[in-house]
Amino acid sequence: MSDTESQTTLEDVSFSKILEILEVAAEESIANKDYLSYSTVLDIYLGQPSRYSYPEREEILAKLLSILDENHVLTYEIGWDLPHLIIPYIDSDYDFEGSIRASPCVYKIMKLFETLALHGNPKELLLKGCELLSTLKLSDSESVTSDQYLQEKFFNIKLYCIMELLTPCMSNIKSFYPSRFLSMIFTAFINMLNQNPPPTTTLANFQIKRAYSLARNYSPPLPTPELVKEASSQGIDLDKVNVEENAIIRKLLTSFITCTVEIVFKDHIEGYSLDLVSYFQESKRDQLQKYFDFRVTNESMDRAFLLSQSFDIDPEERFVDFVKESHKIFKSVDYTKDDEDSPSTKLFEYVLVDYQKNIYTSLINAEKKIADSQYGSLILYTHFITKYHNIKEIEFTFEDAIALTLRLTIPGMIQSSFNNRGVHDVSVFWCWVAINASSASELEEEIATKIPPVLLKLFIQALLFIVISSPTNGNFRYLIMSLLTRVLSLSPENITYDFLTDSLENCPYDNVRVALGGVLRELMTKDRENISDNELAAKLSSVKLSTEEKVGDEKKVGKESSDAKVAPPLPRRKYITLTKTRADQILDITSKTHSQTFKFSPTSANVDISKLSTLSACLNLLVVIKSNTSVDQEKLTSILESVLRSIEKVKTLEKDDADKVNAVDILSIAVERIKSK
Amino acid sequence: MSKFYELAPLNNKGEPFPFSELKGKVVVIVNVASKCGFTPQYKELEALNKQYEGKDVQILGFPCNQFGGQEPGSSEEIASFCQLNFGVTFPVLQKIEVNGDNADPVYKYLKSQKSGLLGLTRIKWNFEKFLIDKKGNVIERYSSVTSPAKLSTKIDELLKQ
Repeated sequence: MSDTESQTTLEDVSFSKILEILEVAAEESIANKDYLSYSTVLDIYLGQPSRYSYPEREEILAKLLSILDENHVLTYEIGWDLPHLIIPYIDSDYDFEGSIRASPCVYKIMKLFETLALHGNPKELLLKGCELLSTLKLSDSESVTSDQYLQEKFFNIKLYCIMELLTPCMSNIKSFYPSRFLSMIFTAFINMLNQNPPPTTTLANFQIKRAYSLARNYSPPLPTPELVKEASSQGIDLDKVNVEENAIIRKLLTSFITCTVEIVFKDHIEGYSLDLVSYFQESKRDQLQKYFDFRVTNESMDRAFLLSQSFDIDPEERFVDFVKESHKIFKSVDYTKDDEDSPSTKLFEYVLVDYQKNIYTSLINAEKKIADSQYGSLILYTHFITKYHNIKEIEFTFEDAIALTLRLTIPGMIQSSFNNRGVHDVSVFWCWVAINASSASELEEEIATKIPPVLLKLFIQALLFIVISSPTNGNFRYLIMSLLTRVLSLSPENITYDFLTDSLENCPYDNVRVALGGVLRELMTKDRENISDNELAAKLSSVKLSTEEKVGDEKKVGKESSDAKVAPPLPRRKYITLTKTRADQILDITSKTHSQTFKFSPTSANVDISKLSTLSACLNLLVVIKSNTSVDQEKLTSILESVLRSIEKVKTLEKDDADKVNAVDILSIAVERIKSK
Repeated sequence: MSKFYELAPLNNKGEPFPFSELKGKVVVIVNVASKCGFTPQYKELEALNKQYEGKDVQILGFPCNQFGGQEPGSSEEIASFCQLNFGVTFPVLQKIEVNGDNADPVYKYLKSQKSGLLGLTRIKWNFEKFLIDKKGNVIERYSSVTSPAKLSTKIDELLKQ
């Protein structure tokens, strides 16, 4: 019989007949002990929920429930076949305006799962339930709705139901080795997480909550008298087995909770760094002057942290160890050698090897051992520190921040699947902790004396990479750009300048290029304030030259300095000094960008909008440096004329394309500003 | 002498409660919380307290807010809650932390002496119980799900020693 014929035959059966068939077939299969046939009947009649109206679905599930409740033998024999048949009935046209219980079929499915848990074969149900969990997808509800919110709701209900089935099944399995079943559930859950990166905080929290409940409520089943007897007859030392099992279960629990956190945060920024900087601003500005006001409140993570503590994880110790290990990696490179195996190549190699060997885990690590997620532990610790803002007690240097950030970021720079946005947030958080812990002059000194330039450059690139990896989170991007600007302002001038001009010329991301052009403009125009020179100048000016007082003892120095001879103040200088070479380079970049922006044919003008914004950034840079004696005025005039000619051509050739005309008109304003005296 | 007797946590008024005064007594120590699913165990603990009234048994509660934030109140509020809702007459001492760096020395000591479920050291949830014999040795550790009434067999055994 062909599929089409089969389908036609099924559709011809009335709904009342189907209910009757389910009942009669159950009786027959029990009488004949032919349970497999009943499984087939269920596959045929339950396998396609869309065939029924929602009231019919309720009715057919109610019928199944009554059959299973009345026939526990049947439930035991064929229960394993039901979860994957029933779960799709959760999808419906429900809008969740009312309670979850009011969602079609949900209550019946929960009752069915309860019956399965009570009377089904726990081992078989666990196997099939894990299979179902592993393959559960958010997109499974696409057939009923395209609304992401509703898809999430259906997904959550399915996840809840499956977990409610798996947990009691696991407890009902009598075994010497309960860890085997626990690891099955954990693996299935981790697979589910990997397949469903949470697009929203709500889903992220739901997933953490489910993991939390599973791990917190787990208690290995006590050995039954039958098991004890069996162990004795088989010569198994049950005490020894229990000790070994407990050790495995402990590892599984800690690995599970930390891996869950890592995976949930893979594409999710909780905002720990935003919270921290909001907190710093609180003490420095009043509420109205804050750039943003953000507070992390995540009860699921609070609980996950406490649970990790209950599992004997010491997140602080792990954090300290992680930083120590990071230093070891970066200190193993000889930065003075620059042969064909350059220090940065070696660093990338070492960090990647470390990632694969020590960091990558999905319950099981590269060495096939149960391992905790280091990323998960770091996120949990950062969550804890954020909650109480107890950063004052932590000693964390800028050098630590660099080591931590590079170790957390480089793997993702090499392979995008190694990226974890949660640890990007963690990196930025700890960078701000380090920056806030020291004065500008201390930081400058630390950078100059302790950080090899190769490492500093990589660190700056890593920060840029974090910016690029977060295209949608405005506040977070702003925060990293602020951090990047701060780091650039503290770094040696040539490194800062080279990085900015190189990015302006070669960075493939337009909006980042433009933003970096703005940073270059700021650093070329602003005087160094409140950092080393001025602080040093202030200290020097107040030193009583004839005494033996320490320079750092400011209070004493201040009091006695009134009649002291003072050193002359140091002249103010910019963060980046404009030299002739630099001015020429900026003009060259502008000229090159101009040629890349416009392409003309006799009848049309092609404007590369992505380059247009960079050209605009270059012109805005020229606005502020135009009067500097280092700028070749002839070259500048020539570039401006070329730009103006291009603008006019576009206006003529593309006069009907308002977008193009408006876009190039913006350039005119910048050109006019440069030309004005 | 057991180090247990060197401990002196604070009572709910902030005054020392020296464990040296517990010498010769069987002691039950519980981390409690007012808004937990296990909170009704207060009633069973009080029943246990009444059961051993006049005998060398001391029950002590330590409020702790580390599990689900289920003990948010002040010491006065906690004491009043216990008295009003469960008629608690055994001492409920000052709120402490039981896990982490700031864990109270009492709990640091108890945990070091007896591991819990699966051999884990740290406290898993509210209403875990420690049983200490008359010489200050930590004898047993019970999980939150163990009903306080189930401790009586062991308490009787320890009282006979």
